[in-house]
Amino acid sequence: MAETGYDVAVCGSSPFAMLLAGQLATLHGKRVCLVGDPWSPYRLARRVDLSVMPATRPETWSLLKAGGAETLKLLGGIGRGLFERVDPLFVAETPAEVNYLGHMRWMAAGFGFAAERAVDRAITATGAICRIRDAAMLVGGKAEPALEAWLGKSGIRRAALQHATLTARRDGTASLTLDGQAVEAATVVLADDAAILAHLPPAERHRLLGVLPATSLLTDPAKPLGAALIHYLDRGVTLHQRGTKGSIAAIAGGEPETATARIAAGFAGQGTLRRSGQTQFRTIETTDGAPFIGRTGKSRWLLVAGLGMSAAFLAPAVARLLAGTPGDDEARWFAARDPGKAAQRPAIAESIGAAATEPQP
Amino acid sequence: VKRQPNRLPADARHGLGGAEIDRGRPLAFRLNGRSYEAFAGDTVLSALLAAGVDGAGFYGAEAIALDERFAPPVAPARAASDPVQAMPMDRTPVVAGLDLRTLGPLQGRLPLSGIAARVAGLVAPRSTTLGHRFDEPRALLGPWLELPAATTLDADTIVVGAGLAGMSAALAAADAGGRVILVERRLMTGGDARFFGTVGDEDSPETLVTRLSEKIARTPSITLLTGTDATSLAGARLMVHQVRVNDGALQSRNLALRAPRIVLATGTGERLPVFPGNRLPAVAGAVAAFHRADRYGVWAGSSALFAMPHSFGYRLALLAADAGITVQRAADSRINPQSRFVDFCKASGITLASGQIVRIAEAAGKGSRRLSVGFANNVGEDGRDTASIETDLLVAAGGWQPRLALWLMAGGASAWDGRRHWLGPQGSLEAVALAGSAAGYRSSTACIASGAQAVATLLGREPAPVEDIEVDAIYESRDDTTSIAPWRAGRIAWLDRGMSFTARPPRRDDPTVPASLQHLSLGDVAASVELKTIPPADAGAIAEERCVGGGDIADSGWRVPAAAAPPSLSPPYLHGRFGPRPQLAVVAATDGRFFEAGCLLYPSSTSADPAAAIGAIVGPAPDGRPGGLAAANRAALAAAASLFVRDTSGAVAVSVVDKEKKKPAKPA
Repeated sequence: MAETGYDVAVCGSSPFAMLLAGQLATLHGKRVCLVGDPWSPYRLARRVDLSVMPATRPETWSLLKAGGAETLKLLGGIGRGLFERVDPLFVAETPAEVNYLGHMRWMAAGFGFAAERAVDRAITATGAICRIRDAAMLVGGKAEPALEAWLGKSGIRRAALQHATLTARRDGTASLTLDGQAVEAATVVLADDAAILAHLPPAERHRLLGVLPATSLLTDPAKPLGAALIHYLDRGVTLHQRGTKGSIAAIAGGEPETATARIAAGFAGQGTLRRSGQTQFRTIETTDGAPFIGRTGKSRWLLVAGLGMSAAFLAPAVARLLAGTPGDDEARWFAARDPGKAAQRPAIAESIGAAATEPQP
Repeated sequence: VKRQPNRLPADARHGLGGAEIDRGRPLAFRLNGRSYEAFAGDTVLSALLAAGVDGAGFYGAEAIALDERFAPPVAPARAASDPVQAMPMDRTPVVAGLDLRTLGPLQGRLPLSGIAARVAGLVAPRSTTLGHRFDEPRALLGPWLELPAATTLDADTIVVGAGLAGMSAALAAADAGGRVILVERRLMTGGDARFFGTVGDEDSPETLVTRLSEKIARTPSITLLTGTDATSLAGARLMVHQVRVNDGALQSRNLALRAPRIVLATGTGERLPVFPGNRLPAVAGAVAAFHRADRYGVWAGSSALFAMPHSFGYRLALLAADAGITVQRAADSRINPQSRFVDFCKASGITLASGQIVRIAEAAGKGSRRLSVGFANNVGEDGRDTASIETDLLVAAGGWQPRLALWLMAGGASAWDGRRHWLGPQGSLEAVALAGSAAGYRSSTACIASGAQAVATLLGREPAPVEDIEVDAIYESRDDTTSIAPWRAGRIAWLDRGMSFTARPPRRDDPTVPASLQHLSLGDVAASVELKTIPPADAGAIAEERCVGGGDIADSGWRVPAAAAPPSLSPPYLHGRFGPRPQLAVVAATDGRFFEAGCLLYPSSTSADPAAAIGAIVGPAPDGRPGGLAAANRAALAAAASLFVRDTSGAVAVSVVDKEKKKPAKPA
């Protein structure tokens, strides 16, 4: 622990980063600062935060089940209406993804999630749809300000990215300059994609981590979609509609040239929609589709990547990892997803196509 | 002119009789079954405003003004459903025999057509509103935005905006050699130069506009497209929509323009002061009011109130007073403003009020076309109310916002400029340059010089420095910010004109984002910064994300490409799940059912924990046989006395009917 300064500097602005920082401070007694730009109500969404995600590994579903319940309890104590219940649809259109979706559905069902096969020819005529009932999703626009208020009450120092400088040391600690004041941080966590891109030099990026373009698009209010949230596995597209006649927020990973067409393919029956915003940004993806949690690079800072749309719901487990108090299952899950144990990576892969990156000798 | 009550007399001073119209050539046209009178040179919008139609319709219960930034599209009555023929009324010239309909949903009634519309037009009382409903966000969208380009025109340089800077840029580009296309949204050149007037001893705007326009007319390499609005910019391709008169008939078409160099001289837009009732009919911006009077001789009513944060409005107040309008008051948000025009107004006997802003505007009485306008002292939320004044027209001037939408579409950046209270451009682009007031220049001289500078920059030449002329603040007080009235419960105050309909947050301290996020304009973002609902540091990024538009979006038929190969039976996501070398085996139940991929294989009927599964179905059984093909842990499969697959009906007993002998392939 640093004599002066912070035990943990959490870098990031996502709900996961905020929940992680808040839990480290409130449940684990750590001195925490959060380095990241404050939430802005008018920026376009970079993610959805859902309690379930595409995954086929039983240990991951086990973690999601426990993490979901724990996170909802935590959110309930922070404020009202911070999450809502939704029945997301996961859609597969190629045989390989249809198989993946089948494995995901039976795995979710095996852990007690209400996962069922759905049919909606307007969404896919030849593919497969998995509906998971009663999943929880953070309410964008309500959850973030409530979390920020909670962090403030929890005594967590908040520093905007432009007012903070991190200087790494080789032992994983860092010197921070926050608003012109120099302090120490015993541990630095790069807790979301934007933080990794902002603070980790490309040369230090682990070979399992790739940078991909992504597109976020917002339409004006539209007719109801088939569900409040639809995630197309093959297209790399997530559509979210708030309310039955609300705007549609779309996030498409992958090449920007086809992003609009891939997104619009989910608008069959909507006619022409007015685009009220669009932007491109970058995401961090793991080459094997599996989460990546561990210290890497010369700085030895802790990176958290690849948690997908359920990152916020895994925050309690990551907080315990950082506090040194993970449960046995959690410890095994994190150990397997530590980049320092790359030999184990194939056994946790989540991709359908390319093989998991083989460990280098 | 009996049916044009808002037309100033032909001999109105300062040319406010209308420079564009020819009163010797009266015309008649029909709109929504009603007949209107106009003059050659009128647009459909100016003719309607002259006829006293100043309402576009309603947003909820709020009446919304018809103005240059907000007017429903029109189309020939015989082809109202054909998007190709839709036109914006501010760019549609009145020609003899026009029979038009406005497009979009109507308040409380169905649109009529044909004889029914004509009969309704004859018997219904003459309305001052077009009666459209704008709660539907798409109600006002120009149908032409969705149409493909009728043709593509290539040039060496495209200049958007034929104000002083744009015309200067076009001439500079032509001098450098090559073809130039000059695009202007209005039907005439000059931009807003005539409104802003001169600084110091500059030539008059009229002289400058005439000089540059004549040069352009004499330059064969410049093609001037008036009535042409630039709608999107991507790379070197500018999409524009043009309305033109072709053989006496109106033509509406999209054009694709391509050039390696593009100059954006798009000018500045006037911000909307934020107060309840700020978009009512009989409320107009200063630039719009000037343009209507100067170009078309249109002024609503015989009395007017002025409220402004700068000195340009005083000049308009003087012109209006000289044209016979009773100027009841010229209110200025600045304390004791200094300007020669303030002095002129004082000398003319116009009542001046400094440090005052509009608190509220509302109808003077039920069904009244007049407004009751309340003012407040400009001291923030604690501003004390002053008595209300009734008027025919409230000229509510705002600050400025450079028109940067095309710049942002081209990939340009923007940032909040706290000194000038606007979103200004940031950085530079290789093939696109800004000029004129869009680039932040104010004086005519600087705007003209910046046009040539922009061209030089794009050509890779050393640009001549541009020096703006600014009168010392002792003589000419600096512009104030766009005024924001003290918060008032239960009343809508819009943040900008135009189509976005973003309102001031309904609660004083709660910037909660409304459930239906809609398109934002640059004016919305600027107002939100000043309302402190958007942090200044975020404004540029928000503008880049939310103000670009980029056209509509519809399913274009894209679908996931068909897979070239069947799915792997040993995909990466199963690697290691059932041992290093899982056994592939065909399993089948006695009832001949088929198992879906992903169903788990257990050694016991009571097992349901996925972590205890010894295998999973990875594909269908070969040759269409029932059951399924499972990948299972070799040792566990060999040791299992019985096997069960869990599907929707629970644990189903299965047996192995076939095993693959060879090693399964490595993960693909």
